Amino acid sequence: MESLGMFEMLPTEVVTLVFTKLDVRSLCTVRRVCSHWDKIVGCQSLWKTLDFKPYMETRALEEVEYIRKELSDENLWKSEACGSIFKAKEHGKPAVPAATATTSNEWEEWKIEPLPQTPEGGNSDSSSKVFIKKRKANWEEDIVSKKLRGEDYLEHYKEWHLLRHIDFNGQWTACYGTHGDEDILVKHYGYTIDTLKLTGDIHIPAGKPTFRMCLSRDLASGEGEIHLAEANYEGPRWGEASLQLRSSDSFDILWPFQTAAHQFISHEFYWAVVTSACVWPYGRKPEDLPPSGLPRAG
Amino acid sequence: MASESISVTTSDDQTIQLSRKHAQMSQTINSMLEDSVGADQEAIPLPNVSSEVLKKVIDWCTHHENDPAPVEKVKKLNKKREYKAKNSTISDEWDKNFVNAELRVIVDILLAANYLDVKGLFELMCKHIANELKGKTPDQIRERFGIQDDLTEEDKAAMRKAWGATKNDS
Repeated sequence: MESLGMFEMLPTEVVTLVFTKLDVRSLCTVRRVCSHWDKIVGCQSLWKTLDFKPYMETRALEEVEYIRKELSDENLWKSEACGSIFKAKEHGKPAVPAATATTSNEWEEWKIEPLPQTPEGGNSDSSSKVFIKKRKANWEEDIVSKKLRGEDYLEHYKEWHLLRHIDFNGQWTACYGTHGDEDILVKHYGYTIDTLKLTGDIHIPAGKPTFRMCLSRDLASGEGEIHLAEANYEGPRWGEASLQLRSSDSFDILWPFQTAAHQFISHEFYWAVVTSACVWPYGRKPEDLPPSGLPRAG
Repeated sequence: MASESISVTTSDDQTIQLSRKHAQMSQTINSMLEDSVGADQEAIPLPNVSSEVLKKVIDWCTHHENDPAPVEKVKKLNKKREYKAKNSTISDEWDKNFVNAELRVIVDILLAANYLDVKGLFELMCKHIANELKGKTPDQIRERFGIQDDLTEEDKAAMRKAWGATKNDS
């Protein structure tokens, strides 16, 4: 092929300039082309050159709408290809050609039952009320995205069986970046997690909440808020954050960079610039923890 | 006083005459000329540009010689207009025709425009390649640009997990 290697010739800065002409969606696509491009796209400077202010006003909202529309396309996850992946995964064989795959019936088996009207452990605590509406939406969105992801779905479904009895209640240790390790107390009821700081730092003193989460149905992830404040607990506020389970006894709290938090709506971009804290049970060392599956920014 | 035409030597040892106006559209040649004011005009060596590509660049310069110089006035426009200015639509019909070339030629022109620092041409080439990338799946991009897929399955799975999948997924 004549053009082979042509693009590798381009200096990184030229490729970067080409990429500045792309929208977020295309950037996320080119990121998956090769590791070199992944590095370029992962580089913070490229995201800085993108002017996100107008993007936020116009494109991002369209993008979000577009992605929503795509996710809600029922035909997409009912496709034969999806069915074959599940079947193959189940039997530990390579994926069979779509033509020979059983489609609708097998697929139905893996459908998660509808969300119950009153979720178990549903609590009338004031802070959980905040999430009740969001919870249903989260859960539905979660399921749709898993259906779409295909191969991950079965794994998640199995996890869900394992994790449904998981109990977050108790004392945990969390790594708060420059503040070091701090102890927190977790109160877990139903799909809601509330936390209280047992160790204080310059920003948030002990006895104040640190994050609250609404868990997804499989309890493997959650969305919610993280408690932020300036030094000496000035201007306390809640910022968007999410929870990602690492294993049955540790999880990550992820939140967008504080200064940039209000700027980013796009889901893809949200994951490109996040910071995280790992939380593990009190009295255990973080070295024991398995590596997280999430790629880190930068 | 410097003459009206400048001669340059390309990588394949050809000497090409180009008008001062066209030469000055390249910041690289322009600064070379400024550095050598008063000196005898010898052919300027351009070791990174072939004659074939330089001719294309001159073609573009000829068509755009009367364009207003790119100024920073974009900043004064409102944000939405600025965004429009940033998107990758190629509006000029002549330009559309110009970029309708083999990928090898496009990449050569892009490199030459980068080296010669011809801003408008470089922008055009960036836009064109960006347009080529848009709306394609990673597989299609690899095929189009002849790029080796060196990502492992784990990398891909991690990416899918982090960002979710889109219709463009391979």
